[in-house]
Parts: sequence; C-alpha cells; structure tokens
Amino acid sequence: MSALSLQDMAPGFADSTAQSQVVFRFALDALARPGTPVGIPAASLVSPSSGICASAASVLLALLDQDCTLWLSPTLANGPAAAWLRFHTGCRVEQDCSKADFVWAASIAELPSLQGLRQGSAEYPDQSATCVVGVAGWRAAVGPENDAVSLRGPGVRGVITVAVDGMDASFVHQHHAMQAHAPCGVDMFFCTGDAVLGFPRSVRLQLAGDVGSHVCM
Amino acid sequence: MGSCMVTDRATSSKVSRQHWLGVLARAPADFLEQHLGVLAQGSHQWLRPAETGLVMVRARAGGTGQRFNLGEATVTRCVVRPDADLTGTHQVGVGYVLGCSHRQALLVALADSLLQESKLHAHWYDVLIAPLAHMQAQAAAEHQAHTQSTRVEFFTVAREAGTDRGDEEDAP
Repeated sequence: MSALSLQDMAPGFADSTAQSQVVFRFALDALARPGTPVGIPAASLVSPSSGICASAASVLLALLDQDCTLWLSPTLANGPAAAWLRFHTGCRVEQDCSKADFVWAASIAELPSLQGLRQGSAEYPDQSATCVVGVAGWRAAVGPENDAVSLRGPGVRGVITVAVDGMDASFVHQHHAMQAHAPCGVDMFFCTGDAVLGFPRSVRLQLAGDVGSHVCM
Repeated sequence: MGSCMVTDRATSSKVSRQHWLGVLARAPADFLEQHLGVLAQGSHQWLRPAETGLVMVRARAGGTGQRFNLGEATVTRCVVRPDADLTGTHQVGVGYVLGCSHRQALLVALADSLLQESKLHAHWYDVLIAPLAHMQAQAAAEHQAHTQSTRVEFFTVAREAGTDRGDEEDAP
C-alpha cells in the first residue's frame, strides 16, 4: 500500500451523487447483459492517474463505501489507486484477497484464482467478492476462434461470442469450477478505457474453439 | 502561543498544523470572510466538495469516567486545491468546521493551504492565527475566571473522585 500525500491526490466525482448513480446504472446494465459492452459517459469517468483504467476506477468509486474491503493486484497496489479510493470512499484495503469484498486486478494475469476469493454462502450468496479487471480490449468474434469465449445464460439472447484479451482456457475452467457451487460465486467486470463488460456468476462460458464439448443448455 | 510556535514556523510540522487547524475551526466566520473573502472567489479544484454530516461526540464524566456518547454534532468539511494564480499557494487545504456552512469550511481550507505554503506561512500566521489564537485564549481565560469566581469548596462533603467505574449510581 503506497502512501500518497494529499498533495498528489486526484479529484473524484465532482458531483458524487449524480455521477455515482450514472456509473452504478451502467454497472447494473453490464451485469444484466453479460457480454454486451457498456460505455460509461466521459462526464462520469474519473481516474487516480492517467495510467489507470478510468472505467474500472469509476465503477469502484461508485460501488465502494466505508464498509467495503478492497484487494488490489500488485501493479495497482504500487500506484496511487489505493490511497485515492480510500480517500474518496473510505474503504479499507485488504492484503488478503480471500477476505476482500472487492478485487481490483490490473489484468486477467494478475487476477487471483477465482476459488481463492470470497464465494458467499448458501444463505448469503451476495456476500461474495466482486472483481473489477482491467483488460487491453475485446472484440466480437464470429465463428470458432481459439481465444474467443461464447456466453450463454440469463441476460443473453441465444449466444454471444467475444474474444477478451488475456482470457484463456484456465480462466474458463476456473469459472466452470466456481459454478458448481451456485448460487455462490464471484461477479466480474472487465474494463477497458470507458467501456465495461459484465460477467455475472450466472453466465455460462465455453471456449469457442472447443466445439467438441458443446452442450446446448 | 509558546516559543515552540516560533521555531515551528519555518517547518510546518504536524503539531503546528494541528494547532492552526484547531484555531481556524473555532474562528468566527466573518473574521475569515474579511481576510480571505477575495481569495475564495477563484476557481478552486475540489478534491472533496464541501459536505455536511454528523460526527459522534464522545466524552467522559469529569474527564475520567467511562466513555459515553454525548451526542451528534453537525460538521462540514472539504478538501480543496486552491486556484494557484489567485492565491499563490500550491498546497491542498483541509477544512473542518462545526455547523453547516460550506463557505466557512472553504475559508478554513483556504487558510490551511496558505499556511502550508512556506513562503506565505509567516504572513498568514501573523494575519490569521496569531490574533485568533490570542482572542481565543483571552475568551477561554475570561470564561475560566468567571467560572472560578463561583467555585464552592465543600469542606464537609468529600469531593467526588473520578473513577473508571460508571455504574456507581446504580450500585445498591
């Protein structure tokens, strides 16, 4: 956790009520429509520094409050992100990712194993972790491509196939393993620039190149 | 104002900043307005826009009893990076005041920012903090003298001693 003096602190939302409501609404939309990118209006985007993904920072700024704990991946923990979120939201930074309510990873590679995060309980599945993950980008994929995943499930009409940079078979397998414990599991936001892609725990992933094991659900 | 304040002037240490923020928090709004009103006109960058909320004031009976919640107080706070062209300071100022005046919180934050800027510190210390601290010390001394004049010594009754136990009255 780096100590950032107030001197170098970047501003948060200028109008915290209105802007956090806007961002919250878009975050809800992203989770309600898995695999469909949601663009956050530039007027509601803020970031602790130019190198940090603004959509990820804005989503966390809108969601966090003083009752939340946050784990940051090493790249983010070494920057101004922790001090910025603590100043503006009052959240606590957690060193142990298995105890955090929110997990912010700079990339999929820096994301801890999904099984190692808070999964919630059968009585309180809402008490699981929410992950915000920075990615370089994504593109809608047509046909079976090796790095693309297809999404099915609630909120998806038919199937959506999307290739997210850095998403590999290991991630998809972790997601499958997590779903064995439904309704427990983590919800995820993949963020790049001003856009957010939601992967709620309910979405069913399949590697697009993996046609052999296709199961129509 | 002891001699330590003089040595601390050059290096705005944590203690002296606590001192001037305490003095500013108790300062009358019109005094701050008179000295800082013009500087408050600029376009400042808000790190935390002025917001009003409640803080729980806690106390101990007699200063030594068990801690209890005295009640909630309305507090307004803000954090601002003042307009450098207008004010000449590049420091971030913090303002906390009792009550719900956003303007007063801004004026305190502005004063805090000016006092942190080493080249401006001496001037603003003399203009704001020195007279305010003097006024506040005088008012406190007057109040204490007034209270002291009505002090009664009960020679037949033992003065109630402070205790950590707060449940004395309830004891059988």
